[in-house]
Amino acid sequence: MVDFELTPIMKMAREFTHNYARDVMRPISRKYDEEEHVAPTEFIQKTHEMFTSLGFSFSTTKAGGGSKEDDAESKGKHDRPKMEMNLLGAIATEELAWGCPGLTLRIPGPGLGGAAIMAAATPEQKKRFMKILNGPKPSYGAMALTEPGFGSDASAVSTTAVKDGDYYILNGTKIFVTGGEMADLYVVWATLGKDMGRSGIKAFVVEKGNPGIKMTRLEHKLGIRASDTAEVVLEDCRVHKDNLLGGEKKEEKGFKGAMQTFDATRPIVAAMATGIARASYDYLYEDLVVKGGLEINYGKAIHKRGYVETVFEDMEAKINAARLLTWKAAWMLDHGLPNLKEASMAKAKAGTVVDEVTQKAIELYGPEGYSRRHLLEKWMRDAKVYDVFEGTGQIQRLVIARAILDYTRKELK
Amino acid sequence: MVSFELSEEQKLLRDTCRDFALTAMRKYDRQSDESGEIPSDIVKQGHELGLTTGYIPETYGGPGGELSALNGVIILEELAYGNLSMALNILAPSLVNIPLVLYGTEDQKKKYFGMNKPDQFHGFTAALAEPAVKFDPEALRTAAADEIDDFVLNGEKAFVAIADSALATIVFARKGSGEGLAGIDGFIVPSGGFTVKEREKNQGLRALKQFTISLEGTRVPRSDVLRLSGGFAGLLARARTASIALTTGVCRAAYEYALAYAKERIAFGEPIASRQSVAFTLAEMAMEVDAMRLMAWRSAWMIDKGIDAYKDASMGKRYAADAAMFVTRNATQVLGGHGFTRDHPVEMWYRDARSFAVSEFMAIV
Repeated sequence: MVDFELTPIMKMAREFTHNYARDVMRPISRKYDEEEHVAPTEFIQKTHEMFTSLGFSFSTTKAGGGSKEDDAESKGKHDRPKMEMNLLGAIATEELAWGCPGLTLRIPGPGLGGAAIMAAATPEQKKRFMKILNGPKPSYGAMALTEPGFGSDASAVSTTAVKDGDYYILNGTKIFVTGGEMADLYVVWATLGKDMGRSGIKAFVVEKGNPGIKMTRLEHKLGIRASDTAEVVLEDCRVHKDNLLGGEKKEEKGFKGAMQTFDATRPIVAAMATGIARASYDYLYEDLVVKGGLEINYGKAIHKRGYVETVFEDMEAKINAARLLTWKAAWMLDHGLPNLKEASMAKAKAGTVVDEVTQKAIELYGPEGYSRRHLLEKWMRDAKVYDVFEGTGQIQRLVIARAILDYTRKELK
Repeated sequence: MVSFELSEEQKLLRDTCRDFALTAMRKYDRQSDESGEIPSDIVKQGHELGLTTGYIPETYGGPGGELSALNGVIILEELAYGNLSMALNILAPSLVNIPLVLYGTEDQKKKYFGMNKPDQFHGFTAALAEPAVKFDPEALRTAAADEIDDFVLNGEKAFVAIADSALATIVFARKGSGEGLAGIDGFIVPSGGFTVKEREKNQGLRALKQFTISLEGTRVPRSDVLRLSGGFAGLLARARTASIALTTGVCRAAYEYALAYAKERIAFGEPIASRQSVAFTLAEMAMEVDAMRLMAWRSAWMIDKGIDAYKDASMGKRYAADAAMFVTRNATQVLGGHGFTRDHPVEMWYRDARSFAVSEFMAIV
């Protein structure tokens, strides 16, 4: 039965994260945008303690990714109703990103590394690595996939993994690693041999303290400056074979695993984009409508309404469209339905909407909107990456198009 | 608890409507568009699906199903997917039946529900729009003067579907002067109660018979006044929600047609769909169709939950109407020169889709 009513837990989570975003994140949002590369240590610690004390893991707010089997596990153990972790994650993440998208990406938790583990690891590995990521101290799981030579074309991995007894030796350079500065573990994608193509691409968990991995640089970015985006270099990095995600035998899972990660993370990224768009919208609404006396006459005849009114209406409708597509994609994953196309739709729509809305918000605010006294200009800068990371807007459209046309990679390049 | 899953009954309803759309409506859509006539057999067959009477309570001889806006949007999307003109004709009786379920008196329900015959399409309709530039439902010119026993209607209404054959028409008008939606009531006028003037000639919706009607001192007894008690905005929310669903149906038709064409049409040695410029356009279209459907569902869900949906329905209607221009225009574009010809239905959907931004109260859920 079609329903749009959130569960009491979801409502609670939404309210909690909203208040947290408003009271804790917003006030320091500008500071960590201006002071790029300064770690918001107090915020990290505080946020970690807050979420831990709730006895309720918000870890998925960054990573997405409770799978069916985990739900079944937790149900058996705690006899609690099945949690819709992906939808819950989307709802909470929209609020946090409303507070500050950069800081949201700094919230400790399994992160993209955790999502990859959930998508590709063996049950034993899941247990072992998620324990690290859900430990008593703030922790981060990073995904190291992109290299200087490729972005969207993940099959072009050139970082090598050479077998040496019970170990693999990794060599290569990874860039754009979100959370790469503080990561407790990195999921590193490497190839066993270029001649093996996609089937040779494997994911290895490199734990903190491994002398073979070094952070060499933090990126200087247009937006989400509070988030640490790092370059890491792997130099003869020895990784035990037990850290090969999915195990050595599962030849297939490697590359597919990386791609499946996105089924969970794209709706979450879309939710963040929706949150940023809403932040801009709300900011504008507060000053133009609540304080400024502008009236928005919803549903009135077109000639009775001014330009600004209709823009407000368009913005809100677009935000709603993005949110609905996001909820649907997350809901599908929670219910074990294939959501590849829908996850990309959510990401593509939200990625477009957030750019449009944040740009338009500055225009409507007037010259003042361009000033760094306000967060509008920051959100517009933050927004851009949502049409870029986790697959560019073009890649999302490629995924959608292949799905609706039933085309292979070869048939639609 | 959030769910995007239709119930088994709703899936059956959807499949039944979709089947009718594809096997019956689509066969005659071009012919109907050209001739301006919908085959009466199609209207009869559509009527026999019982889509406009399912919610009539048993006490009035109906099947006693619940009035569900969600069921409504499912039906509307599928029938509009078949053909918009036919959908509006077949579903026109709901324009009276649904307001009656919500606001009708005992006597009105008895009288008008009884006029619905399962095996024969008689037809009801509603008249809201007026022949005026800058039409505004808040400033209706049709006036209802209170003359003790009766109300007397004077004015003109436009784009009234099947006004020539409808057994009864709800004419929306306000008592006395003033503006706004709150003062609007429905006045049920039997056939012959107004002058049917010329048939509308529209850009699209050509198969649907719409007329301008003229009310000159039409007397409506108090017993035939549908007192909305400020509920007109609620009816409008239902009609606008319906509009989102209709838009979704027409857009889905255009999108699917373009998709199939793009896979078959060869250019430079391969299907045009294998080019990103075409494939990405189709992806955008697919995205918009999904987004508008979810908006229709959400708005319908609000109505069924008793939540005020006026703002969301109005916003959604506008969004969908805009997106419809994007989707149907691009559908014709994907077909290139062939999209411009009347050998393919995409130009018809493009014309039909233009109606959504300007029409009001074409259907209701």
